[in-house]
Formats: sequence, C-alpha cells, structure tokens
Amino acid sequence: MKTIGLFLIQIKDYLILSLLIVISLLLIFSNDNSQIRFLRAVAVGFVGTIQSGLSAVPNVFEIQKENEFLREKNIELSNELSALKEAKLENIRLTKLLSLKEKNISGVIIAAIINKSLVQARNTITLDVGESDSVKINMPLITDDGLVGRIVSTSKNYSIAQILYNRNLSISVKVQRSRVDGILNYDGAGNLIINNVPKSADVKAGDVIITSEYSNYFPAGIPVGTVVEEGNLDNLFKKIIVKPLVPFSSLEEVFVLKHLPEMQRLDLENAYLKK
Amino acid sequence: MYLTTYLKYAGIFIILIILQVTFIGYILSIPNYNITPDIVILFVIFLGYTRGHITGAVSGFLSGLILDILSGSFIGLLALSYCIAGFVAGYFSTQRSDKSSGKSSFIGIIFMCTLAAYTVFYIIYFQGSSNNFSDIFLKHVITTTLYTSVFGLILALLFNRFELKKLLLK
Repeated sequence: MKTIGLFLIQIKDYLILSLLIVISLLLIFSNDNSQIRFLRAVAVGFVGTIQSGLSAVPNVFEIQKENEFLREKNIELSNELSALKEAKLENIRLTKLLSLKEKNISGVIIAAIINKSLVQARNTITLDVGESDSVKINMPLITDDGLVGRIVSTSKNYSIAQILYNRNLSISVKVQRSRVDGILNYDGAGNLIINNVPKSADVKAGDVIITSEYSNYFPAGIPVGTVVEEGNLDNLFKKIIVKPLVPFSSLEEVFVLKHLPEMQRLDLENAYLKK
Repeated sequence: MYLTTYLKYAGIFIILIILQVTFIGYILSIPNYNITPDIVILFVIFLGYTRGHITGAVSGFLSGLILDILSGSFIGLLALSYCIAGFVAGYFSTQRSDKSSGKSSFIGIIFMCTLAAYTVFYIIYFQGSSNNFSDIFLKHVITTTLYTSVFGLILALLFNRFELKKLLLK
C-alpha cells in the first residue's frame, strides 16, 4: 500500500496532466460543429477498432451465459425437430391410408391402434373404435400394404382384433400368379405357413399371396404377403413360408372394412357339415 | 506557494487575457496571415519553467479555458494546448540553473513549448478541412510559434532589464 502511495506521488504530475487533458477533451467533444463531428467520427472509429480487437478475447462469463442459452435452444430445437419428424411420419402414413381409401375401398372405418399384445401365439391389437362406430365382429382389418387381421371382440368404443400372427386365425389364400390355393396359418414360431400345397404346384419365392374367393370372412384379392421359401412336408406336399406385407411392429393405424360374412352362405355350409 | 502568489498570477493572467483579446489581436496581428503573438502562453510557459509541471499545466488549462470561452470557438481546445505547453515547460524547470537560464535557452524553451501547443491546437482545429498536415504546419503552427517566440524574446529582454522576473517569483 505504501509502495502504491509512493508510486502515485511520483507520477502525480502525469496524473494531473491526464486529468486536465481528459477534461479538455470532454469540453472539446461537448462542442457541436463540423470539426468536432469529424473528430468524434475518428474517435468512434478508433475506439471501435480497439473494441473489435478486444472482442476476439473471450469473456468467460459471457461464454458461460451464451453456452447456457445455446443449450436451452438446442433442447428446444431438438424437441421441435422430434415433433416435426413425428408429424412427417404421421403425414406419410395418413396419406397412404387416404390414397388407399380413394382407390377402391368404400365403407371403411379408420382406427388407431391403442394397444398391442404381440406375445405368445395369440397376438391381438386393440383399436379405438367400437360398436358406436359401426364396428362388428368378423370385420377384416387392412392397411395400404395389405391384410392385417379380423375383429374378434367389440365394446361400445373399443374393439380387439386378431392379426395374422395369431394361431386362431386361418385365412383362405391363393398365389396371385399361379392361382394355387391354400390355408395360411401362423405356426407360433414366427412364421406364416401355407401347409399341404401339392409338390407339383407352381410356387416361387417372391410370389404374392392374396386372399381367396373361398374365404368367407375376407374379400378376395387383398394382398397378404410374399413367398419367402418352400419346404418339404412329405412325398406329396410341401409348405410355403410367407412374409406378411404389413409391418406389424410399426403398425399404428388400420382400416376396418365394413365387410361381413354372408350369413346365408355360412348357414348353408354349416348345415351341410352337420349332416 | 502562498495564496497571494496565486492571486497575483491570476491577476496577471486576467490582464494578459484582456490584452490578448483586445490590444494584441488587433495591433500586432499580421494582416492576411491571421498570425498573432500569444502573450498568455508565454506566461504559462514562464510559470511551467519556473514553478514546475503542475503549476504550468493547471495555469495553462485555466487560462486557455477562459480564452476559449471568450473566443466563442472550440471550448477546451486552447485549454488543452496551453496545458500541454505548461507541462512541457515544467520539464526544463528541474534542469535550469540560475546561471544557465539565459535568454537563448529560454527562447528555445518558448519555441518548443509553443510548437507543441500550437501543433495540437491547429491539428484539431483544422480537422475535417481540406488542409493537409504540411500546410497546417507551415502556414499556421510554425509562423505562430516563431512570432510568439520572437515576442517572447523581447519580453524576456525587458524582464531582465527591469528585473521583473524577481518580482514575479517573489
């Protein structure tokens, strides 16, 4: 402290000079004429140059504040981006569904899947539509990709449907190209199988499987899947492994077709079987 | 310094300032060149030379400020210039000795201090004009400095003759 005091005493002449110069300059700059305006411009340019140089030196507190702001902004933008991606995917799905609706299918109910039970061999989905939406048991479910399953239970506002990966669902199908018939089932081990297809039947990998006219529950011609491979059952028959067209793991919306079995046909067939 | 000394210097400054803005400005200015000897700065340099930096700078600032106010031009410009002149004169006060403080050395000091003051003054004064530095220096700074130095020499001779210096330093 004493050293500082001595130092200040030593430079007191210069301090006083500096003070007087500063006062003089302040007085000069308080004038308002063209020369002073020019000087002010020069002074501002000079100070601006220094400030510009100093701005390259990072200010720790400013950086910290800026960092926090950028983090918040980053989170905000990430959320926005996520919402936009979600909206985009939803838009794609709905557009596809709408295009399907416009194509050829009348009398459909759009339903959202609110629960999935994709466990064991009895896979079902729960829909947000029910009897109040005219949904009835045995109505088929489809998407723009193909067949999904069939309604098996309804309440006022909800319904449950079996999907292809359900052991209790059997579908009469045919190979679209060669018109070979068969019954599609889920084997409980992750595969859709058409059993008892004659060995001589013309079936190739990549063939499209569609619903058959023989089916009483599903309209004919709905795509179901594609042939993946064939396997021998015995000397006369072979089995065909089918990959479904519908991506069940990412399925979110479906159409419920307002299609019901023909009761007259069902009654006739059942009466004959009882004889 | 005593208060009476300050009052004495203040009185001298007032007289010199009145002379500068009235008599000197009209009688001794060179026509067409607008050059006038500056008797106020001579006294500022004298005080800086005899009393040191602070007295020179403060007296220069105050007298310059009064002249600024009276001139109606830049407020603060003469205050700055005279302040610098008085402070520069203070550099020579520590080196001076009674024997060597002859007329020739004092004239040199006047020249240097006046040159410094008027360089600052005219450079600021002509900012924003089309005059370049060499024109300003040759037409205004050097001429005013030389005229004031010559005038200062005459005053120094008169002071020595009538021993006014001793009277002032009492």
